[in-house]
Amino acid sequence: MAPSNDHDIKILNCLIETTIDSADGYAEAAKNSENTRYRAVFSQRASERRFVASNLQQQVRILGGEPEDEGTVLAKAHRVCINLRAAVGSGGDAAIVDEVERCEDHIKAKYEDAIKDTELGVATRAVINEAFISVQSGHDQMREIKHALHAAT
Amino acid sequence: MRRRKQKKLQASLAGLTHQQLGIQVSLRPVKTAYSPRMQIIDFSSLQGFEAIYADAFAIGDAALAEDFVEARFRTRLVIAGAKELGMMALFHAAKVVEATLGDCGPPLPGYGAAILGLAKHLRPLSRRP
Repeated sequence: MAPSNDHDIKILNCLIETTIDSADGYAEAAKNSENTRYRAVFSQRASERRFVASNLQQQVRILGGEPEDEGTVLAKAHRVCINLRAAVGSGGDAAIVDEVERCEDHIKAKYEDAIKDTELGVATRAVINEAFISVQSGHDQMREIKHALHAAT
Repeated sequence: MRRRKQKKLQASLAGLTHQQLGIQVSLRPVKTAYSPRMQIIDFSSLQGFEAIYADAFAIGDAALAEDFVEARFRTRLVIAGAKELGMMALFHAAKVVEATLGDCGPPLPGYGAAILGLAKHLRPLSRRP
């Protein structure tokens, strides 16, 4: 009997949800940032995350599942990054970066949990590992920006 | 004339075995300079990959030497190369590096992480058969 893909699909959909949430968080940060250069970085990260989410969605389709998309994610209440504007208020770029970094911690932890999952198939693991490169790079970059901004103030 | 000679030769060789003809037959596969997998490589793509790798190395070297004009130039070459070859993950990683380096002046903090992200996208490609 062929092994079921349900577990892989469930994990991938959870990551898609988090990744779309982080892409929206970056887009929101780009809209609210006062500095044009930060704005460029946030929008590039937003499009990178959307690309990562589309790769994960493709893997779900390959496994025969129905991937989460922007619509299904929007309908869910437990979004971490999209409430960025409300959390930031008028705190400026430092507050935006703090909030983005918090979102990055959240997404990185989710990916690390997924990578530790021993029940995942080889192909799914490869797709998640590739996506994790972007996640880790984004997390490290936001941490560096946060430290630099706090050191400057 | 030539055709007649060929037909004559074919007729005379028809009943002979390869040993009688002095031809050595080996059951081992013939070794060529390239394996069958290597033979299907598209050499223009390979040159494209090579250029991207060289430019990515140059971004790191230039950034370490604080030559950000060169780093920006090489980043744009990686972006163009990755787009041409359809390496979209690499393209997006390079776009983040471009945004972090900015158009002029010192780069934003986190440019090191962005360049490392780009390098990590190159690494799996080099392992792929």
